[in-house]
Amino acid sequence: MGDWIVETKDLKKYYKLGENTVKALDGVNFAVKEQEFTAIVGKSGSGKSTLLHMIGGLDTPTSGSVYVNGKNLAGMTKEKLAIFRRRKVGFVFQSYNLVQDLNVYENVVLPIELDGRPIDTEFVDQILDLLKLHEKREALPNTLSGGQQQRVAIARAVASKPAILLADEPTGNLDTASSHDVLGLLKIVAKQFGQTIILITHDNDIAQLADRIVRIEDGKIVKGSGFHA
Amino acid sequence: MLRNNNRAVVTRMARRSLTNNKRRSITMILAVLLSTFLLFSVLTVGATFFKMQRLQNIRLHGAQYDAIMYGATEEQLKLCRENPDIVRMGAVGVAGYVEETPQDKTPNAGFIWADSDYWNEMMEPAREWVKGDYPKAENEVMATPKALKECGFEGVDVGDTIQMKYTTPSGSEERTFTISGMWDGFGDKKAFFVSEAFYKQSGYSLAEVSSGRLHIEFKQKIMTQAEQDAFINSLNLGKQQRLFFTADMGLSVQILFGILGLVLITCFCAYLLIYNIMYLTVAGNIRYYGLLQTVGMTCRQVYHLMVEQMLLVGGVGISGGIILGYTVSFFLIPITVRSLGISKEAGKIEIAFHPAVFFLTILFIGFTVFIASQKPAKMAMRCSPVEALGYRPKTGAKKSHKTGKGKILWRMAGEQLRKDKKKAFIVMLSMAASLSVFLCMTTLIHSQGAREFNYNYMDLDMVVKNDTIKKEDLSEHRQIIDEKLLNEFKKTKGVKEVHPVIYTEITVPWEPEFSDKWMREFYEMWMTIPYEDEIEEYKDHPENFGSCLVGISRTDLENLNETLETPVDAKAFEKGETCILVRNDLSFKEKELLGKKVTCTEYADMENKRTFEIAGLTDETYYNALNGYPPTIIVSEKVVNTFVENPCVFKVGIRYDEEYDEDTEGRILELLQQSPDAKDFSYDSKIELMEYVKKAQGNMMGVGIGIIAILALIGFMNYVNTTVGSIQSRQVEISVMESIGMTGKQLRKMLVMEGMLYAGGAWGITITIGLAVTYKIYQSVNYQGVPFEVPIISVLAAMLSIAIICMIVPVLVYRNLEKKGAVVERIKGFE
Repeated sequence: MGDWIVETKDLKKYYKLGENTVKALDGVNFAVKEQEFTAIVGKSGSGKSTLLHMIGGLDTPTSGSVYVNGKNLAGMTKEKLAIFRRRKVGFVFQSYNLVQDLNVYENVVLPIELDGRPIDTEFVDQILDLLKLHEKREALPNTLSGGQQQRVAIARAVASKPAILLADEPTGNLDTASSHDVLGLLKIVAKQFGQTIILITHDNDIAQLADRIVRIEDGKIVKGSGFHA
Repeated sequence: MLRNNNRAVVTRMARRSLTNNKRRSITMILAVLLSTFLLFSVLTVGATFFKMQRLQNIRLHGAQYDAIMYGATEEQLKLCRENPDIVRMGAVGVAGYVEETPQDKTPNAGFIWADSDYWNEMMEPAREWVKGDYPKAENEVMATPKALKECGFEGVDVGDTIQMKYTTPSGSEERTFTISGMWDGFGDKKAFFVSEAFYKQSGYSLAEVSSGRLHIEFKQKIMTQAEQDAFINSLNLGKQQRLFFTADMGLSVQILFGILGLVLITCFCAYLLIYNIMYLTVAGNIRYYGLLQTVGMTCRQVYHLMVEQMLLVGGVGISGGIILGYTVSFFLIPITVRSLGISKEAGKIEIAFHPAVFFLTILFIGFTVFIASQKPAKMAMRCSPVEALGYRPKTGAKKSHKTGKGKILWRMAGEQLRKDKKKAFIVMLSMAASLSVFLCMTTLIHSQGAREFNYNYMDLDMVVKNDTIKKEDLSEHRQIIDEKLLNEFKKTKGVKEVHPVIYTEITVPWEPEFSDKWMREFYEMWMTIPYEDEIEEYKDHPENFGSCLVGISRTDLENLNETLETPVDAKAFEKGETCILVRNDLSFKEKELLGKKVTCTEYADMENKRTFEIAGLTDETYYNALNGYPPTIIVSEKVVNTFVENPCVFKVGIRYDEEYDEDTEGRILELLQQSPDAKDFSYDSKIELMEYVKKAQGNMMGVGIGIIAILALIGFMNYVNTTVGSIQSRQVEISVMESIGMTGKQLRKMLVMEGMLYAGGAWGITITIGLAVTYKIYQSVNYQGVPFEVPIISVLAAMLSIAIICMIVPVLVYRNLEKKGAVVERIKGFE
C-alpha cells in the first residue's frame, strides 16, 4: 500500500433515480500521500463530492473499498464511522455548516468535546490566532461574515488534530478576496500541523494551489489518480 | 381606481397550497379538530360531571332542595310563600317513632309526614320506584322495604296491614296500619310516611324544631354568601331554629368559578396547541411565502391567503371536531365507562347536553384559530422576499454568549430550550396544564371517591348498637353486647380491634354553678316550654331528667382528644378526676365551662355520687347513648366500672385488618344473626355506606376519567408536534453534528436530555402553579368538605409518563429523520 494515507479501490456508488441508475462513482481507484494537498476537479455532477464523502465516511459505497490510515471504512458501523470522523477527519463544507447555537469557540472544540478528550486550549488558541478569530471567540455564527464563518469551519476541522482535511468547495460561497484568504489559511494551517488536504473544486484557478490535481468525469478519474504519480 | 379582483386567485392558491402540502394541512386540521373535540367534550363531559354531582347531592339529601329550615312558623311560611325568589317549598314533619311491633321489640324506624310538594316534586328525583298512593287516611302508611325490614315485616306488600306500637307527643298507642304504597331510592328509608291527618293528631307541629323541616328551592342556582345571609335574616329565625343551605347551593359561586377554571385551562391548552402548530408550520414554510412575494404577491394578498387557509382549516377542523366530540361524548364514553365496569356501580350513563355547547365551541375555537394565526401571518407578511428565501428559523436575537461549562450534551440540550424561551415555555406550559388538570381531576375524583368519605367516628368498619337502650321502660334495657359476644368479635378472623363503649343512666342534681346554667341553655335551645316552668320539678325530682355517664377506653380518649379544642390530660381523666361533656349543640364555649364541677348520681341509687371537673367539650355525638336534658358525661371506662356494677355496652366499634373486608363483615353479621337477640341489634357498616354513596355518585368517576383522557391526549399532541417541528427545523444542524463526529448514541442522549428538561419544566410548573390552582379549584367545588389530599401514586405515575413520553418522542422523531438517508444526503437535501 506504500505510504498512502487515503486509498480507494474499485469504488462504486450507484443511485436509483426513478427507473434509471445514476453511477456517481464508477470504479474509482485513487490514492493520496501523507501531508499532500490534492485538488479534485470536475464539473457539477461529475462525482467529486461523492468521492470526498466516501473518503470522509459520510456516505457508504455500493461496492469497493476506502482505506484511510490503512483501515477499511466499508466494514465500519455507523457509530464507528462517527468516531472515525471526529478523530481522523476534519471537514470544511461550502455552506460552513456551523452549529448556530454554539459560539465560535464552542464550535471549534465541539468534535473534541464529543470525543470526551481534554481540550488543548493552547493549541486551540494558536489556531484561533492563526485564523484571526480570537476576538470573535464568543460570537455566534450568524453574526459573522461568510469568510469568517469559513475560517471557523477550518479551525473546527483542524482543532481535533485530524490526519486529513476534507474541503468541499470551501470557497463556493465567498468573494474572490475572501476565497484567497481562506485557502491561504487552510494551506498554512495544514502545513503547520502536518495534515493532508483533499479539496474539491470546479475552479481550475483554485486547483492550481494544490500539490496535485485529479480530474474526475462521469464518476471516473480521468487524470492523476495518484497511483502512477 | 378599479378594484383588481384577484380574490379568486388567492382562494385558488390557498386551496392548492393546502392540497399540495397534505402533511402540513392534515397536521393543522388535526390540531383544530382535536382542540374542538377537546373543548366540546370537556364542556359536555364537564356539564355531565357537574350534573351527576348535583344528582349525587340530591340522592344524598334524599330530595331536590337548596336550603332546609328546622321548624317553620306560620309567619315564616307566609314570608316564604310571598318570596318571589323561591320556586318551590316542601314541608316534612317528624310524626313519631315506632316503639315496637309484634315481630321486633326494638325497631329502628320513625313516622314522617311530607306535604304534596315535597313528596311529588322534591323527592321525585331521589326515588327509584314507587307503587301505590301516598297515605290519606290516619291509618295508612307509605313504606320502604328497609323500614319494613327494620320492623320485622318481610314479604308484605301494598294493601297489606301491619301492626305497630308507636310514640308521639300525644302518647303511646298501638294501631293496625294499611300499606297504601311503597317506594325505594335515596333518603330516609327507615321511616314510614304517614298522612296529614295522622300528623295533625300526633301532637307535633311544623313550628317545632324537633319536628318541622321546611325544604326550599330557589329560582336562582347561584347565590352569594351575602344573598344567603340576607335571606336567613329576612326570616327572623328563633333561637332554636336553624336554616342550612345545601353544600352545592352554599358554595354555588365557588363551584361556578371552579367550572370556569376548568374550562379556561382546557381552552388555554387548545390555544397553545393551535398557536404552536400554526407558528411552527408557518415558520417552517416561510420560504414559500417569500417565494410568493418574489413573484409579485402583495403583503395584503399574502395575509388574505393565510386567512383563507385558516378559514378552510378551521371549517374542516371544527366540523370534524364537533362530530368526533359528539360521537365520543354520546357513544364512546358510555361504552368505555361500561367496559371499565364503572357503570355497574354507577347506573345509567346520562350525558348532559346543551345547544350552547355547540356555539361556545365554534366561537372559541374560531377565535383561537384567528388569534393563533395572526402572529404567523404577520411574520409571513413582514418578511422581505430575499430574507424569506434564505430564511432559517430564528435562533434568538443574541450576538454572542459566554462559553458554557459542564457536559457538552447537557449544554447543547439546554441551549435548545434557551434559544427560544417563549416556545419552550409554551410547550412546558401546555404539558403542565394537562398535568395540572390531571392532578386536579384525580385529586377531585380521589377525594370525592366513595371510600374517602368519613362515614363515622374514628373511621371504624362497623359499629354494632344495642337497640334495647332506646326503650322507654328502663327494665327493658338489656346487656345484649356481653363479654361472650365481645370475645367472639375479637376472635373473629379479620377483626383487628374491638372498642366497646359502656354507659349507665344517671341523674345530674340541680346546683346553681353548673347544672342550672346548662338546663337554662338547654331549654332555651331545644324546648318549647320555659325552663322556669320546670325548674322546681328538676330540683325536687332530678331522676325525671335522666342522662348518661359514658365510659371510654384509652384508645377512644386518644382519638377524642384529637378533636378537642383543648385536649384533656389523660392521667387525670383515667383517675376519674376529670370528664368531657357532649355539647349537644348548645352555645357554651369552653372557657365558660372548663374547670367547673359536674356532679352525678347513679339513676337507681341517688346516694352513689361522683363529681368530676369539666376538662373538655365535644361535639362528637358518637358517645351519646340516650339524649337527656342534662349533659352526657364522658369518663374513663374504669370510672364507670367502679361507679356501677355491670354497666351496659351500648355500642361496639369494630375495625378490620383490611378496610372494607367483606368476608370479615360477613362473619360479624353471621354472629349477630345467630344471637338470640338478633332483632335487638342495629349496625352501621362502612361497606354499606360506601355502596350507598357509590350508587348516589352515579357515573361521576367515569366522566372524570374521560376528561383526564382527553386532556392527556391534547398535552401529548402538543409536545409531539413541538418536538417534530423542533427537530425538523434542526435537521441540518443535527446532520452537521453527525458529520463532525457526533455518534447516533450521543445524539439520542442529547435529545433525551432535552426531553428531560421539558419534563422537568412541566413538573416544576405543575407542582407550584398547578398545585395552587388545583387547591383553589378543589376547595371551590368541595361539596362535602372532604380534606384535600393529592393521590400521590397516580400523580407520580402521570409525571413519570410525561417524562417517558418527553424522552421517547424526540428519539423516535430522530429515528424517522435517520431514515431519510446518509448524513451527507440529509445536509444536501435541506440546503
